[in-house]
Parts: sequence; C-alpha cells; structure tokens
Amino acid sequence: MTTYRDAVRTAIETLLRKDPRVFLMGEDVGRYGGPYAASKSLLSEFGEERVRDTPLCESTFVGAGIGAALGGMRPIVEVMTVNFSLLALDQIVNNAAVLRHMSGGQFQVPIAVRMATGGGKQIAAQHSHSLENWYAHVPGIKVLAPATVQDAHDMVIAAVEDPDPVFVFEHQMLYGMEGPLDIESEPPSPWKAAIRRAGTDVSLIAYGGSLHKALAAAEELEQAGVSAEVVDLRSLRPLDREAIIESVSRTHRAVLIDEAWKTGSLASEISAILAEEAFYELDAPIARVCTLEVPIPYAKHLEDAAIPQVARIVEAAKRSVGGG
Amino acid sequence: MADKMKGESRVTACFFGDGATDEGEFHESLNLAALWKLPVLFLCENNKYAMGTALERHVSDRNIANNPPAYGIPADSVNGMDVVAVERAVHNEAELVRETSHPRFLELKTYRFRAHSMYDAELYRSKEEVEEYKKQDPIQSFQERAMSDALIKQADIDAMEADVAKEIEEAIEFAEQGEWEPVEDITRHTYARDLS
Repeated sequence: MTTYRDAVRTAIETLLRKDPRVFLMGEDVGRYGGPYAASKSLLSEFGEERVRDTPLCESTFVGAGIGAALGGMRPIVEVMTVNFSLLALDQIVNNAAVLRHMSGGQFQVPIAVRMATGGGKQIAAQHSHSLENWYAHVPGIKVLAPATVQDAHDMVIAAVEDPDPVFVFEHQMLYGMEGPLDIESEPPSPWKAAIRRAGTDVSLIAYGGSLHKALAAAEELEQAGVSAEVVDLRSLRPLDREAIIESVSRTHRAVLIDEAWKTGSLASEISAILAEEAFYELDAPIARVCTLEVPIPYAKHLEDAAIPQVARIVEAAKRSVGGG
Repeated sequence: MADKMKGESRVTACFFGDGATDEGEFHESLNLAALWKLPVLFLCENNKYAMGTALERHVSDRNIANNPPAYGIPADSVNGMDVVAVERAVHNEAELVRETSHPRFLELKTYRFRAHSMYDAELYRSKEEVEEYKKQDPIQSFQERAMSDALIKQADIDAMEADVAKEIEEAIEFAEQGEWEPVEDITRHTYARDLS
C-alpha cells in the first residue's frame, strides 16, 4: 500500500530520472520537501536546478514555467493551493491557454501545473476553496482531478507527457490516504471517467475528494435498499460526457457531488449536459450536492456543514429515488 | 530559463513599455531573473504613455531605470530616438548578459507619434507635443546623419523607399489573394489533438 502523497512523489521522481527536460519548481518544493511533503528528499537527489524553490510570486514562476515549456523544457510547477493560483491566472488564461491557437500551432506549452484543492483540514478560507471549475472553463488547457492513489501517480505522468498545459488538482484530504499502486501496467486513459462502483438505481457523479464521500454514501444506500452507481469523473476538461450520459441512461437518476459552490459549478455544467442530451432518460430531477455559498469557515463544525458530506449525499439520493 | 538549463549561450530580450513597470510582475520578474541569474536583457520602451496615461500620472519615480538596481540588476538609459546609440547600447548590454549570465536592464526613451489604437482619439496629449517629438523622428534623423556623413546618397534612399513600398504592396497583394481560413477549422490548434 502507498499513500497518495508518495504516489505523486514517485511519479515526479520517475519523470526527473527519465527525462532531463523535466524539472520541478514551486514554493517550498525543495528544502522544505513540499508543503504537503509530495517532493520530500527530491532536492538532495536531483539538485537545486531541477528541484527549484521559488520566491512567493505565483504569476512570475508560473510564467517562467510557461517560458521554459516554450523553450523545450517539461516543467512541473507546483502552486501551493488553488487559492494562491489565482495570482497566476493571467499567465494561465492569457498565455498558456492561448499561445498554440494564436500562433496557428507554431508554439506549444507542455507545462504541468499541480496544486492542492478542497477543504476539510481547518485551514480556512485562504486555503480551502475548490476552484477547479474556473480552470475547466478555459479552452486550451486540460484539467485532471486524481481521486485514487493510482491516479495520483498516473495523472502527474500524463500531465507532463501531454503536449498541452495540464492542471492537476490534488485534494488536500487525500495526501495521507493509502491505496494500491501499480507502476508496471499501462495506465488507463486519464481523460475517461471510471465507474468506481456499479449500481442500478441512481448515479452518484463525483470527482477528487468527494469521490470517497460518494462511495461511503453508496455503502449506506445499499443498507437502505438503494443500489447506487458511483462515477469518478477523473478528467474535468475534457469531461467524459459519454460516460456520464451512459451511467444516467442506466440508472435514470443523477446526484452530482461537487465541492465547489453550487452557482456556476461543474455540477451545474453536468446538469446542463444531462438536460440537453439525456433529458428523456431522467426519471427524477437532477440533484446537486455542493458547498454552501460561503467562504469555507475555519471552525470544524461550520466547515463540515459547508462542504458536501455523506449524509447530504444519501439524503439527495433517497429523495431522487423517491424514498427520502 | 530553458536556455540556461540546456547550457545554451542565448540571451532572451524581454520587451515591454513604461506602463508594464507598474505591474507587480515587473518587479517579480526582476527579482526572479536576478535570483536565478537568468540571461535576460530587459528592454523598456518608455514612450511616456501607458496607453493614455502619462508617465508622471502612473509611476511614483519617473526614472524607471532606478528600479532594477534595487534587485541587483545593472540598469542604463539610452536615447531611443538615436538609432546608432540604441544599436551600440543593446549590442553591448546583450554581450554583457551573455558573458556574465546575469540579467541587465536598458531603458529606451522614445515617443509614440500615432494613436495607441484605432479607437484612440488622443484626448490626453496636445498636437503640439506630438509635433515637437516628430522633430526627433529616429528614421528621419538617422537619414540626415548618414547623408551628412556621406554614408548614403539621396539615390540610395529613394531606392530603399521604393523597395519598401514594393514589399508592402506585394504583402497586401498576397494577403488579398489569400483564402479565409474555413470556419470549420475554428477550433484547430486549441489543443495539439482535437479533444472530441
């Protein structure tokens, strides 16, 4: 068994060893070992050039990564949390995402940007938001959300090997999670959703940290006689529309779990996809279980109340099947 | 940064205007380039206006070259209207960056004769000011200097101007003969491979 954090670290180490163009940079990735310890001891093995501590200047070090990618390198840029990544949005949205299109394919930006996302650790509104839907809004970039130990490893590799800018959102509650890691087999495509639990009555569609709450909810629902299918989106851009529609076409009910605020969330986008493309498959209104529309509070009981929890998912699913 | 990591001897010339020096990224970039000893020549084209906002209305210290030394970056200014001075200064600075693998900064003091864009009615400056600066037109003054130094003759200038006019005409002709990109190709190059 491996932790999610070690899976990320193993992937970075493999890439650094395999490809001299790869380097890691970000705040505290070197001497500190990574804010979430995902790059522990890499500095001593690969040196200051390839495991690079940066000043606190997200816009400029993400910009430097974009420049290095344009210049033929394969940077992995770590931004401590999605909250801080907002300082780099100009570089991401106005440069990384558009350069290939604006240059008619002459420039490419093969950068991988990793960051922590999500709440649950009582680190308050400065470090707990889920803004991956902001990134998933933008054409020209790709967005991955690994929810398992295996994906934490495979998606870092996929992000670096991809010719386009790829953003990997690692949920901060998952770093300590343990699971199996197979580094020998060919990994599945990172751009496809996965059915993590098969079911017949309702589809629970989740990603990242919420996947495990959806799985726990499915377990509870089974005790109550409801068979829930759990879909892990894995890729947030592109979204695997086929997998979403297929699952709902089987179960005819959809509960969408998303740690973002409900307004303008990916859950909203998926609701629209289902309404547009699978309306006649639905036997019940679509339900969204999202974060309450407040900055994530510091106090434990308020933080718990703000973000999606198993009980809310169970309740939404029961209402959907008519038993709640 | 890529050049440095790959051991190339190239220098990156980074161009920006006086307006960009207001941005936090300007200061972040100076800090990062100096900290990591990146072979960058920062070239600030100071044309006195950030779109429509005059220099004295957007920077606290009108001497822009005062900023880089705070980050340990040598900085100089040159008359950007003097072709020979610019060529000499840029050449020297670039060679120093290459030799030292340390960033340097050069301010090119210049002026913009025309509007910022086709939507700019130029309400923020007087016509007299523009006319005054036109007397320093770098092309005109370089031409006069070359003539007085007997480096070129009127016939050479006429030939050059005719060549340029012809090149522009041919470019327009080429563009007008070209076909519009098909609308079906609109999403091409958004990604390396089509996502759908």
